[in-house]
Amino acid sequence: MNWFNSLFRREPAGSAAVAKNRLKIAIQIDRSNLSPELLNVLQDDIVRAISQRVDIDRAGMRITTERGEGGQRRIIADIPIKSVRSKVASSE
Amino acid sequence: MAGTVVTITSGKGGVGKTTTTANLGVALARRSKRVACIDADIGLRNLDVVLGLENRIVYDIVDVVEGRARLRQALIRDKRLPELQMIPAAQTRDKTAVNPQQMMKLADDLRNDFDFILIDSPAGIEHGFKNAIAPADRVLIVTTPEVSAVRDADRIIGLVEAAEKPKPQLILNRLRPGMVKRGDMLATEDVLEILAIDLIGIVPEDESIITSTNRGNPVALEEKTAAGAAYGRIAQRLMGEDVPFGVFAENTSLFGRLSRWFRSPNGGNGA
Repeated sequence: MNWFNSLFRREPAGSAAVAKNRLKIAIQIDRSNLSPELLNVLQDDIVRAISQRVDIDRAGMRITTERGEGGQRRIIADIPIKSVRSKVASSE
Repeated sequence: MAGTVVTITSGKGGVGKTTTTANLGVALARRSKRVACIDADIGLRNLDVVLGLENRIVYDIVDVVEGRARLRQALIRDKRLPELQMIPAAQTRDKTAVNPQQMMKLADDLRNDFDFILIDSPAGIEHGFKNAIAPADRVLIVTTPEVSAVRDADRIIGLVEAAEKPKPQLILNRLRPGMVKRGDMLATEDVLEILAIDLIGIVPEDESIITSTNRGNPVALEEKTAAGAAYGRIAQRLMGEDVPFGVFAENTSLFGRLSRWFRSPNGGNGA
């Protein structure tokens, strides 16, 4: 029966549905691609925010993007800590 | 009133930008609009052959921007349609021979004498695309219902928005209604959902495009074919008319019906 079925039956799910799903994911990734310039700006923003509380090793800092599950992109920041500033306790 | 500059672009090559530009030019000119078509694909000139005007070229776009020819001298008048004129691309130069400021000046010089200035953009996202987009008042994105073309269209839409142009409109080209019906081709709604822009026209796959281009007579010269009629409707929408989007008839020949009957799982009851 198998050869008979494969002769007369088209693919079970239309290929258009597959195309649509693949496109959605590919485009989501394309749209969330961060340019190197934007990554540099983000790095400066992060340094400024974190440095108020924590003394970090700027030279050893890495910021990258990575594809997570389901194609979603995520920002990965790897920031070596030198020391925690002591006056953190007061939030003023 | 000053003319409107419409840039036709796509990102991916081979989806029908030049055919679209030529046929929209023809369809608008048939409706008594004064149209100038500009081939911005410098080094890979093609709008001239699609329009059937390749034997009449003396000067090209680079001659105009570099001052070797006046605009009037470079404009080729289409003998079939008095309202249609074309500026060819240069064939022996590269895309850097023209810059966006020169394109804007050229378009501005044409605005007084034409109702529509159609710019045929080269494929890609670099220099030639930036030239084509610089003077645009409106941008039409051409795509086919294929993953590669739709993905590139999405990139181009992002770049058009980054250039602070009005939101582009979509021409879905080479749609095959039979395949869509079988679930084997992205439907218009699928493409619109993914790209999130407005539709300005659907052009069905049509062999007459090939035969008419072979002869240098764009299908829109006579709007008897499905594709020719589709370009006519897009031209009307460009002119601001509210034209409903047609539904394309499926292949209803006996052979077409029989072959579908054999292909479907339970004898023609396919979705």
